[in-house]
Amino acid sequence: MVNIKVQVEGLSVWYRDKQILKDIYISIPEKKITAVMGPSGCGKTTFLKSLNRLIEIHEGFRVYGKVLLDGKNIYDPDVDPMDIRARIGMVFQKPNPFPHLSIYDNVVVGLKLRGITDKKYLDRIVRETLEKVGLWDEVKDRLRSSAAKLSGGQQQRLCIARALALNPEVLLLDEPTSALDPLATAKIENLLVDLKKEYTIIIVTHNIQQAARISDYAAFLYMGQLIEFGETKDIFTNPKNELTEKYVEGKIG
Amino acid sequence: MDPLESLSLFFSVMLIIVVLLFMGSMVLYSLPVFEKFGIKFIVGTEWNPRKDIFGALPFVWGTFITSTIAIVFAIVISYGAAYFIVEIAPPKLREFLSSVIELIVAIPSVIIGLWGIFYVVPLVRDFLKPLSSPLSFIPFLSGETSGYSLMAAIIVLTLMITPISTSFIKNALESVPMELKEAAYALGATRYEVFKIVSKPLTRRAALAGIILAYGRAVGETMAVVMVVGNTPNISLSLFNPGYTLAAVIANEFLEATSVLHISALIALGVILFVWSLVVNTLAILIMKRVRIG
Amino acid sequence: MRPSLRSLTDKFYTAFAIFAFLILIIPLLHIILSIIMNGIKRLDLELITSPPKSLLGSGGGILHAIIGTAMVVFIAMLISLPLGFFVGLYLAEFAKGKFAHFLRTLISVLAGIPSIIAGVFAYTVIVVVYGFSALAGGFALGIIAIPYVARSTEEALGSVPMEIKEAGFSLGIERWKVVLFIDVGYAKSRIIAGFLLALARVIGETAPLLITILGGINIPSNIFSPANAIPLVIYQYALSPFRIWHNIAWSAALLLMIIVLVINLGVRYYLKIKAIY
Repeated sequence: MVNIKVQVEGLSVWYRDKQILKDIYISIPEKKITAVMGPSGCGKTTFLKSLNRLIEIHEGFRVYGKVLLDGKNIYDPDVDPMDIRARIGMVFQKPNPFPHLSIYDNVVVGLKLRGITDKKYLDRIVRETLEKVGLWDEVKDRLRSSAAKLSGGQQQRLCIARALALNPEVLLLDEPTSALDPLATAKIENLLVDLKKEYTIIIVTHNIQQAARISDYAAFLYMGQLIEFGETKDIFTNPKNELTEKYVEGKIG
Repeated sequence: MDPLESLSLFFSVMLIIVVLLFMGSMVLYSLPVFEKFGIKFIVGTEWNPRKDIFGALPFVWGTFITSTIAIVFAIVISYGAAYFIVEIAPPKLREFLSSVIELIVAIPSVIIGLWGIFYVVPLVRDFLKPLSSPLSFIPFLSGETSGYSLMAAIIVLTLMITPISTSFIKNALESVPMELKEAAYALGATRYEVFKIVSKPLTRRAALAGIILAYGRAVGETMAVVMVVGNTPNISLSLFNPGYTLAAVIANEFLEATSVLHISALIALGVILFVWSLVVNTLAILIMKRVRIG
Repeated sequence: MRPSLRSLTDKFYTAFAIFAFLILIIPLLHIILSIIMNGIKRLDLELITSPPKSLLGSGGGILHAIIGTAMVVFIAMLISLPLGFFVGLYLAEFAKGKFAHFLRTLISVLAGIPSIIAGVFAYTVIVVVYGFSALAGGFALGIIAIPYVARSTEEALGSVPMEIKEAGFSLGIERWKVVLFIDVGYAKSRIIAGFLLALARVIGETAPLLITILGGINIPSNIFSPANAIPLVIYQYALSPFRIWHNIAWSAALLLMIIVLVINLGVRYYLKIKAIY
C-alpha cells in the first residue's frame, strides 16, 4: 500500500496569455522516485516549480488548481511559501552553488538564514549531508574553500546537500544531470536511488533511459497535459497511450 | 513591504528630496538678478560687479565657442584615433591602448590645468601666435595675446574630451559584426571602404551619443579652463583674446562676490549652465535608448 | 601597377588615422611625462608629513591638504555610499514602472551636474549655516558621487544570474534575505569596486571645494573648520608667482595621479581575482 505524498488536482498554469499546464491530476507516491518526462517545452519545469511555489517569484505566471502536501493545499492563503520551500527542496539543472560562499557555508546557508546558528549542530549537519551525497571524503579537508572550485558533478552534489540540510520531505530535481558528464551522472543517479529511502523524489528528465533506470513511477507530459502516469515498468513495456508509446520509443521529443 | 524594501525606498525618497531641494534653492537664489534685469540678463553683454551690472552673454559665448570648437576637433581626432585602434593597430595592442585612453579620462582636471598653465599658455603665446601672424587678418586669429586665451582653453578642452568620444566610437566600431565586414572585404573593398560602407553607418547613433556626452563634459568643465582662459568677461571673436566661461566665472568669483546681487547673478549663471548640461545629457540618453532598440 | 584612386584613398585615411592617434597620444604622454619630471623634485617625505612652511626654505609640505582630502572624501563617502547603495538596490530589486523611470532620470540629472554647481548647492545649504568647512566640501563631493555608486550598485545586482536567485528562494527564506544575503553576497566584489571607483572619481575634484572649504594653511581641527585639499592646493600653488610653490604643485599632482592610478588599477586587479565567476 503506497502513501501519496503530493496530490496534484486540476493544476493549470498560465504565463501571460498562454496556458502552459492544462488541468493536471497526479498522485506522487511517498518515498519513491517519480520521473516527469516529455519533449522540450512541454511544461515539465513549470510543473516542478509549481510544486514548491517557486513559480511565484517570476512575473506573469498564474496558478490554478490545488497541490496537496500531506493533504493540505500549499496554495492556501494561510500557507507561507517559505515554509513550503523548506519542506520541498529543489535542485536545478545547472549546478548553482553560491560562488561567494565556502563549501561549508553553502550547505548551511539555508539554516543560518532561518536563524539556526548553533555551531555544533551546523557542523553535524554539514558532515551528515555531505556524507549522504558522497562528498564528505572528497571535501572534508577544504570545507572553507570556495564552492566554485569544485567540479560540475561535485557542485551538483553540493547543491543536493544544501537542499537536504533543511530536512525536506520532498526533493525536486530539474534535469539535474543534463549538464554533467556520464561518470558524474552515474554518481548522482546512484545517490538518488539511495536517497529515496528517506525522501520523496520527483525528477524532471529529458533522458528516457535515465527515467527507466532509476524511477519507480513515471509521468509523461506533452504540450502541458498529463498523457499518462503509472509505474515505470508499465509505462515503458506497456504504455496505454499511443503518444506515450511513441515517446518512450524515441520517435518524438 | 519588507524591511529592506522600505529602507531602500526611504533612501530613494531622500534622494528625490535632495535633488528637488537643490533645484529649488538654485532657482530661488537666482531670482533677484532676474527680477532686476529680466530675461535681458541672459543676453546682457556687460558684466561689471562693481557697478552691479550683470549680463550672461560673455560667459554663454565663451562656453559656446570653446566647447563647440573643441568638440569639432574631438570628432575629427576621435574617428581617426578609433579607426586606428580598431582597424590598424595590432590586435594585441588594442586592449592596452583602450585602457590607456580610459585611464586618461580619470586624470583630474586641475592637473590638466596645471599642465596647461606651464605648457599650453606659453605654446599659444610663443608658438601659435607667431605661427599664425600671416593669417591675423582673420578675426578669429587676430590680436595680441598673453597666452591666457580662448585658444588655450580650446586646446585643453579638446585634450580632455577627445578620449571620451574616442572610447565610445571605438567600442561602437568593435561591436560591428565581423561577418558584415568580411562580406564587404570579400567584395574587394579596401579597409577604408569597409569602414565607410559598413562600420560607420552602423555605428552612427552610438558615436553620436558619445560625441554629445563629450560635448556635455566640455560645457561643464571648470578647473582646466579657469586656469588658462584668462578670466576676462568680454565677447571677442579672436580666439587669442582671453575669455570666460559659465563654469569658470562661478568658480572664480563666487568667494569674492561683492554683493547679494553678484551672488545671485553667479547662481543664475549656474542655472543656465545646469539647464545647458541637462539638455545635452538628456539628448545623449535619448539617442542611446534608440541605439539599444535599433 | 598604377595605384588606383581607391587604394590611394585607403592609404590617405590610414595616414590620417595614425596622425589623429598621435595627436591624441602625444600631448597625453607629454602631460604624464611632465608630471613625473616636474613632480619628482619635491616628491619627498617632507611633502606628505609637513604642513606649509616659509618660502625662504623649501616651502614645507602639504600635510594640511592631505588631511583635508581625507576628511572631505570620508564625509563624501559617508553620504554617498549608503544613499547610492540603497537607491541602486531599490532600482535593481524593487522599483517598477513609472517610479523606477523617474528615479533613474533623477540619477541621470545628478550625474550630469557640472561639479561647480554641486559646490554652489553645498554653499547654499551648508556654508550658509556652518561656514566654510570640510563638511560642506564633503557634502558637495557626496552629491557628485551618489549617481556613480547608485549606477554601479544597480548594475552589479542586475548581473546576478537567475539560477542564483532561484537557489536562494528555494531555501525557503524571506525575499529580503535573498536580496541582502544572496544577491548582494554574490555581487559583493562588484559593488565594492563601484564604491572605490566613485572614491577615485571625487578625490581629484577641485571646483566644488573652491567655494566650500576655503582652503587655508591650517590643519582642520574638525569637520566644521575650513580645510584644504590636495587638488585645491595644486590650484592655489599653480596660480601663485612662487617657483617654490610651483614645484610643490607638480609634486602634489604626481602624488594625486599615483593615488588615482593605484585605486583604478587596484580595482581592476581586485575584480580579476574576486569576481571570476
